[in-house]
Amino acid sequence: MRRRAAGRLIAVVAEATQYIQRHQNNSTIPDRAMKLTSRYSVLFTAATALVALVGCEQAPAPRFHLNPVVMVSNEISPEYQQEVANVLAAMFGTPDAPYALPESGLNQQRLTLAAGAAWSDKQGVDRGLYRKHCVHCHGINGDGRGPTARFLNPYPRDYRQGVFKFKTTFNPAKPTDADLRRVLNNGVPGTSMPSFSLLTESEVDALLEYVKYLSIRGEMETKLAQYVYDELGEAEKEDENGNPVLDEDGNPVMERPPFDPATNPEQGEVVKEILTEVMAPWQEASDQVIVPAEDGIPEDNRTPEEIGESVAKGRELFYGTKANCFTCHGPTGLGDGQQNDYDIWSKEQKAFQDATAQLQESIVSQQKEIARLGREGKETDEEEAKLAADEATLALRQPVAHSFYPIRNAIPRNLRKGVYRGGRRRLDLYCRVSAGIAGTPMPGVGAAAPGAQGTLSDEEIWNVVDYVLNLPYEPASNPQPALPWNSDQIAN
Amino acid sequence: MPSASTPLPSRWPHRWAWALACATFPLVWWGGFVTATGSGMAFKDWLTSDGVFMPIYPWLSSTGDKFIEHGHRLLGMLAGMLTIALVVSLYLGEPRRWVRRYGVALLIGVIAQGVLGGMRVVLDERLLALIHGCTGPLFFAAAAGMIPVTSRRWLAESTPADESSPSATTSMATPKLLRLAILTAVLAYLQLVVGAVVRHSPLMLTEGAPRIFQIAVYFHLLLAAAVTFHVLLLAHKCFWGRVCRTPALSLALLIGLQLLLGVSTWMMKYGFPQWAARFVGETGHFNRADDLASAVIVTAHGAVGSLIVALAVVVALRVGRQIGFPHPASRPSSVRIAGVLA
Ligand code: HEC
Ligand code: HEC
Repeated sequence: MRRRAAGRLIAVVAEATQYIQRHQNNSTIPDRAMKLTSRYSVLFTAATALVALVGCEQAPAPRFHLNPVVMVSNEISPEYQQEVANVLAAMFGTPDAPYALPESGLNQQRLTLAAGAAWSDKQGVDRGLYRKHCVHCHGINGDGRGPTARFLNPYPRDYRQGVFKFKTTFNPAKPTDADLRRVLNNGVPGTSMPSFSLLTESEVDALLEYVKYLSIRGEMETKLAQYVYDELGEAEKEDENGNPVLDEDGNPVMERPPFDPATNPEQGEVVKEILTEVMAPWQEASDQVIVPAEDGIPEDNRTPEEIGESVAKGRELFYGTKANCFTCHGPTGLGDGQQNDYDIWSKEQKAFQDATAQLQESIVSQQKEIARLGREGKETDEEEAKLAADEATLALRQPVAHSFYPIRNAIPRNLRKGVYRGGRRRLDLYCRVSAGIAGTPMPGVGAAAPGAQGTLSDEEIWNVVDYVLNLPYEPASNPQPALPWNSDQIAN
Repeated sequence: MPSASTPLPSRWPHRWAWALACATFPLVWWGGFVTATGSGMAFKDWLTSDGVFMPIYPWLSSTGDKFIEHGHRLLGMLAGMLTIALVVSLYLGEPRRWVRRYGVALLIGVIAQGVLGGMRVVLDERLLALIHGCTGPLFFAAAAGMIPVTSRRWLAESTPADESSPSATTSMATPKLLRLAILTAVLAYLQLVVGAVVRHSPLMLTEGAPRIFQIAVYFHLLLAAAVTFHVLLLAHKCFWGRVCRTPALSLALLIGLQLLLGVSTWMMKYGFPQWAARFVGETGHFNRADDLASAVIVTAHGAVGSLIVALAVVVALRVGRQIGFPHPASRPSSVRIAGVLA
């Protein structure tokens, strides 16, 4: 249909070109020049139309891609990868048609609103919100590798680990809907993550549902890959009595048990269990909210003296070894302490790259070893088989390792600027200090779980919050009560 | 080819040409605005808007993306009608055949551009949006070029025998200057195309999109330097050579504005660039999606880009005219052409 239209278009254009050529005799220079341009404008139009049609033919429907790091590091074979992809597609659908499993508790209506191509229906309801607002940074898979990601610092969030930084829950817990809504409404100031406060409430709800969906899907993918790695794989075929089946030459027959929960009830159960495991923390998030003790919350009408006293206490704690803030945020709060750590997203990639580099080194030494054995006239069959296997693994790992964007350190915040990415309310800072910032090196000094005992008491945390809020106004040359352990390193 | 004795052509083509250019510039703006606000797919149909034939769609009572997108469609129709009027007036009162043909080319262009925009909607294809965004400014530049061509001044300059006329004695237009003007126009247009790629490729969902975006960004920066250099050089030469000073000076001012807008556009979309963050440190700066101010800035960057191309085209045409491009008798044409293209 489209092809026929293209054919007709080309015919019309050709005719027009011929017409212009036919009427091109006895002309002067500008005449000819103008004709030339008019001819080229026709040709240009034709070329445009052609390129456009080619483009249409080639753009396939967007689909989710498997996480290469997870697949390669779990050594999932192509057959199993396809099966994992099938299982994920059956459970979660596609970017155009997401499916909310009833067990997942996700809201199908919201997902449908957020997914698919961006357009607006006759009632003026915007659809395809994720692809309109988020995909260029967070990517179609929610892997934080949208086209613009390379140029952004910090990189956009990879949702697939299910870890979020700015939330009111305990460190390992998931964010609540309200937390995600706050991030969407406020953006993350100081980063490229914009505020979506101009979107309607239902649009924001749809988007946060979709973030959760991508997150759950990503966690599920990792867990399924681990399951396949642990439980499935090519094995020797066994008969009913558990004895290995042998072929004519007496070698064991190998078989690959397929990963297909739809036909294998046992696997079906396992997949259900994994889903419950992934879902549980999301469903329990609202029980994991940090609630500062009522009586510990500082009053709004404190006198300057009271505040000053609290700030002084907080200062002591900040530079003390109990809270240890200065080791990272530096002796002056400039964020110039320990700067060589990584967040979990970088750590995963760094570990992958390091392992790949190691494998490469080991291959080189194996090659040397084989050469040595060969010179000594010894058998090298076993070594060569291992080398071939390692080389095959390396060939799989290297393209993945090269596809990462430059890995960056997690730099502690410069607290003298008064910029707080997770919000500037005192309660926001309380949650940051108490729970730390999940996924980053920043540890929490409050309770790690409901009812637990933290390193600092509630009151002490409020003191630290007061001090942090006061830091931008404190002269940087104020003498420090304790010298940081690495002050000599910083000086150099 | 009109000689000095040809009666003066009608003034109407010139007026229509102005009207067309004046309608096309907002059209380019509005088109950019459609992209900036993500309104391109406000309707899934074309030639109709939500099933209503375009001219009778209740535009003024629509809101949000539908208002923006339908406004663009209506403005596009207006540009189409003005082009028709221009062509009609050319065929009624313009003796130069090549100018009439120029008009017809414009008409073909405006129709093609409309169809392209329609296909972008019907097929919901980013690539078509990108191409539509590149050909729009091309049409604008071509429409703007019609203004000097149909002007009285153009005809007045066609009397090379009159050596005493001020333009002939003071003008320093040379083939070299023409070459510079053409080069500037081409570079500025190339920059526009690359800019369109920078703008649209993030929303493409193909595997190669990140690569395309990254390359386009670097290329866009490189070309920004090249275009700035050429525009300033052109303005300098035109100013001291007393050749179409007004457009040349406007170009110089616009390029400054354009650089500012470019930096702002990046900030409005992605915050401080990575390298700048090192100097400014932590900032509480954050963007607001769908914010009107940022949409206007982003759009202005594209629109000013088209204006730069259009002005460069106008300068090129007028310089070409002043060195006697349409007077093959004065010098062997092949020499001149070689001089221009060398
Ligand atoms: C211009 C790029 C950009 C766009 C567009 C964007 N984000 Fe982000 N987003 C980021 C960056 C960068 C971060 C990481 C911030 C950080 O780590 O401090 C982020 C982080 C997040 C987080 C994690 C916050 C946390 O608490 O850890 C969520 C959730 C999120 N974005 C959702 C969205 C949604 C939903 C959209 C679309 C409506 C969107 N983003 C659009 C760049 C973007
Ligand atoms: C192991 C290093 C480390 C220690 C110890 C540490 N931080 Fe941090 N801190 C970080 C890093 C890294 C970040 C930036 C996290 C991010 O957004 O990626 C950060 C960010 C912050 C922020 C900014 C939060 C926001 O919303 O932007 C505050 C406030 C903060 N830390 C306070 C403290 C306080 C108070 C302490 C001591 C109780 C402390 N930090 C201890 C590493 C540390």
